[in-house]
Amino acid sequence: MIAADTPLVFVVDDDAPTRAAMLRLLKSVGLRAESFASPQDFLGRELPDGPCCLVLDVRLPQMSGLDLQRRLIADGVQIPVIFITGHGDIPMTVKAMKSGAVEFLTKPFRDQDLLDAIQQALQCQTETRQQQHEIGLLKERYETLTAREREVMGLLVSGMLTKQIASRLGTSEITAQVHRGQVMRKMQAGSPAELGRIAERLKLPESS
Amino acid sequence: MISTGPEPSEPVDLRNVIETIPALVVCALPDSSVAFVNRAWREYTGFTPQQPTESHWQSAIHPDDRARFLAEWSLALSAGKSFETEARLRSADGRHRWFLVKKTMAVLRTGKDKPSLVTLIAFEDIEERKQAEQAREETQEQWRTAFENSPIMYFIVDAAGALISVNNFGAEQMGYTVDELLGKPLLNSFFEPDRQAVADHFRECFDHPGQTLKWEARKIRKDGTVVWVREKGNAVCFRKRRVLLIACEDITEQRRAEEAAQRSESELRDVIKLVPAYVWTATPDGAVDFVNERWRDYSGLMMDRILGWSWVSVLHPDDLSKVAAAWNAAVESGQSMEAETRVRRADGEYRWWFCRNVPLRDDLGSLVKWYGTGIDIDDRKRAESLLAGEKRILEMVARGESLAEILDGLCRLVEEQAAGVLASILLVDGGSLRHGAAPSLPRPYTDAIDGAPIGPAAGSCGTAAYRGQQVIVEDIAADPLWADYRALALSHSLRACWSTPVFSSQGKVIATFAMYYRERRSPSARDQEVIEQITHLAGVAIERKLTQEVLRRSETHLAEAQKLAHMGSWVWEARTRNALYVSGEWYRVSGFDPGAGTPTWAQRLARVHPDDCAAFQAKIERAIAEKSDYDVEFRIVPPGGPVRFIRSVGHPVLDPSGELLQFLAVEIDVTDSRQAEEERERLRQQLAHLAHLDRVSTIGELTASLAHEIKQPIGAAVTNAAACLRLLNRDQPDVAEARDAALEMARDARRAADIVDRVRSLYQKGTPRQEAVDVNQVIEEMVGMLAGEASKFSVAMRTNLAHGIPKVLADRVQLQQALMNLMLNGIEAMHDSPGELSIESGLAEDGQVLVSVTDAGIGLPAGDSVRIFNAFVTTKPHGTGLGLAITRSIIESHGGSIRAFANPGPGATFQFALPAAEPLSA
Repeated sequence: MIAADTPLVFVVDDDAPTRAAMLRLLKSVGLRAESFASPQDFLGRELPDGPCCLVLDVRLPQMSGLDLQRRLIADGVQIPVIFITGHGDIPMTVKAMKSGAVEFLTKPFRDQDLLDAIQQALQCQTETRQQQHEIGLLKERYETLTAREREVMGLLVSGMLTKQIASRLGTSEITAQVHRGQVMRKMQAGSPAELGRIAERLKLPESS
Repeated sequence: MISTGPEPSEPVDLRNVIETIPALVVCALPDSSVAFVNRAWREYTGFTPQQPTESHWQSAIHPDDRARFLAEWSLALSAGKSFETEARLRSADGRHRWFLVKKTMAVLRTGKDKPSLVTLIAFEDIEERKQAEQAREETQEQWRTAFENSPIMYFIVDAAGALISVNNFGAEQMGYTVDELLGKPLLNSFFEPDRQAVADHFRECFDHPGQTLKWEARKIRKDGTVVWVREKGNAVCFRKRRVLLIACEDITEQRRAEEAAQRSESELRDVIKLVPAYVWTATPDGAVDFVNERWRDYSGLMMDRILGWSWVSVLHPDDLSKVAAAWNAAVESGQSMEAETRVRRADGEYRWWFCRNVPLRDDLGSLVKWYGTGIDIDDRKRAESLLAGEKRILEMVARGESLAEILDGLCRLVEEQAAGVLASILLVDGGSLRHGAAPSLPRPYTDAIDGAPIGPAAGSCGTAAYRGQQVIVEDIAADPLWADYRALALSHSLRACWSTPVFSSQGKVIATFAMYYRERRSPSARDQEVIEQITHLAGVAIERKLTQEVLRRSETHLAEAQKLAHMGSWVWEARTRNALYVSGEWYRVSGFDPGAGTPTWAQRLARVHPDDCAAFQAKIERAIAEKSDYDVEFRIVPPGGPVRFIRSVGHPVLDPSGELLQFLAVEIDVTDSRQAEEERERLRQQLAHLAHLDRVSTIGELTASLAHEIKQPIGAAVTNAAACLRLLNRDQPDVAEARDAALEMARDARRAADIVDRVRSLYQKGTPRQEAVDVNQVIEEMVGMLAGEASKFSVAMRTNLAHGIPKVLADRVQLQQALMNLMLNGIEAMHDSPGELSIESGLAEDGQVLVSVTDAGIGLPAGDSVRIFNAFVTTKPHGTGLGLAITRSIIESHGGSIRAFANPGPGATFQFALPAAEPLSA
């Protein structure tokens, strides 16, 4: 009934009845769901390639929900997080949202709010995944550049003209011209402005 | 006489012949008519010749014989047989005589008549013979009857010993029938051991016929029982045969009686021999003709020195005349007599006898013999006298007479008991002996020995006291123990001295008792008995006197003690409620003036605080009704003084029948302790109040956590409700799952309610209530309640609970609070370094229940593990400092203890112990 590529919702809550209730709710709308009593248990789970999100209780023994979120970010695990708390306060909410939480729900929450948040999270994840894919491609291209070409690209992105680049590198303008052409071709950039956006997405440090 | 058969040649006229014979004859014709009767017939019967017809002659036969006769007659006629019978005929004078009747046939020729065959019936008078026969039969009958019914057994045996005849009685007596015995050897019926003797008697009888022999022997009955018989045998000749007639008599009863008499006689002999009394008999004139062995042995005299009047020589000279007079008077009057007298024993000692003489009279009332008994009552007499003396002494003791008088009495008692003795009692006084009593010893002597030292060779008494053993000095002149006092004693002609130590009940020598004699002497068994009695009595008397001293002193001490303890004792009568005894301190405790006399019950009641009076009276009345102890506390209001608290404890005194007599009671002034108790109660209240404040403020601080905790189940319930609705609203509703959701919802709601209840109970400010509480349950509850607070600081809580530990007696809310404080303390210690809070329960070796809370937090300040429980000492930046102090108060008010110690790793452990409500069942 529920297909394998159906989005998977992870629930981490130390309160067993709450976990059971959540699973029941998620299943009632046809979502796949798995629950964990502690962050440690969840960290032991290999995440699927398909769409998924995490419904996380803020207050947990030993490692709090916010700690888990931090850990996931640190580990580079991309999973949208929806926080649930029995008693939310503003500093906590800000902290969570700043760390990229999709939603912050207070118990008792409206079921539709949770389901909406899950939808949003899954969508968000799809987008993120798309972006990551693109960045991956750009990185692959970037890696085909030689050291000199990367240097040239950095200088291009900083807005230098070819002449200036040659002067800077102490090469002929022709050589610089060749490097520029190689960079533009390898990075599949139509214009220096586009190359600038690519560099920004790759978070390359600007040369000065 | 009458020819039989026809004799045609006979010329004789038969009729004439018949006419002359003396027999009575009737001649009958074949047609039975009578041809004639002869003269004898006619003369006898008185009938005329024409008269007799057949019926006529037959009518002469006696009516009793007639029917038989005619039957026989007609039988004889029809068979043509001869006929012979006997019958009585009536004579002319109407009497009857016996006749032998015979019939014969004859041919009768009479004149011209042709001869005819006739029947002659002849009647021969046999009356005389008949009578003789009858007489003989009668005699025989008599003898037979006599023989058969005689109460004597008769046996007749032949020479071979076989039984020829036995009478019924004889057979019956032996249990047989006559037929069973006949022909059997008579010897077989004798008891086997007697058979030979009986056989000899039989032979002797046969050897001397006509001579009667007698013997006695035992016979065996058919049932096997043995009977004694006496038999007389006489051999006679009977029809030319030698037979033995035996008359036999059962003498078993007689024998038994004889044997019994013999037995009782021998028993009597035994009794007289064995009876612990002196027995004699005397002839009516008073001369003794028999004394039993015991009597002889006692006196040691030969029989001839006793019999007659010789016995008076053993009587005590003082009693002789009195006893002899009494005996003479008895013999004179024939009346029985009794007397007590001293009789000299073989060894010369006189002992008291109680004697009694009783006359035996024959059927005519004349005196045939005197029977006399003497019983030795000497021991009893002495015991009585000693007992009377003892009683006298004990009375003196009881009357509280002086020790000197009592000891004097004791000495005199001894001197009464034994002649020639001089008694002395010396009292042990440290290392010497002090004069006690010696009424008969010379004064100079007693003065001289007063204060004599106790030592190993200090006369009889000093040595006895030294050794703690009796010292017998038979001869003062020779005994080395008397070296120091010999001259003194001999100068007062004291020759023997036996001294015995007198012991207290604790076994201490407190005195010596000495018996002096003026001649050499050693104590007899009886002397020793007296000594034993007297020393015992002296011990009692002296000790009693000493105890009285001690008692007087201890009474003084008691009064002091009562005064110190503010405790008064008294005894009051249950029936009247009147005080029978009150101690001095009682007056002070109860607030009465000793000078005003013992207060009445009403006066006493009037002193009781009006608020306590009813309860006081109820308790007392109940104790009286139930004959039970009472323990009552009440206030009294002494005039002009402050109210005082009195505790009165009473114990009923019952008589042997269980009737309530009195109450033995103490009254204690408990004002001070009551005030202390009230103070303690006030402190308890304060603690309860403070604890409540602490709880309320703690819970206030926990509000956020508690809200979180309560939202958990509420959130779950809401989620379940949503899921339920969605499951039902689907195109294909999943009812089963929806139902599970609804059930879950209900459970969640209850969970929420439980938390609310728990929180509310902590808010309550009830009076502390002790109940048996399961600490594990309290731990689980508090873990549940503080889960929110713990998770707020990312603290994990872990429990490790021992199962089967006993419950504790505690106020549940306070126990929860104590635990909550410790748990919050632990959580707070881990605010900055999240870790695990471990709560454990267990059982200490001493049976107390242990609960420990271990955190991994900042730990204890160095050296503060004790101070930490004091109020306002805190290691936490926001602590009020009250939590641990209240926790300690709670635990200690439950009789428990609490301590804190640093963990080997980070953090600290708080552990409290509480006594178990009931011992753990094995």
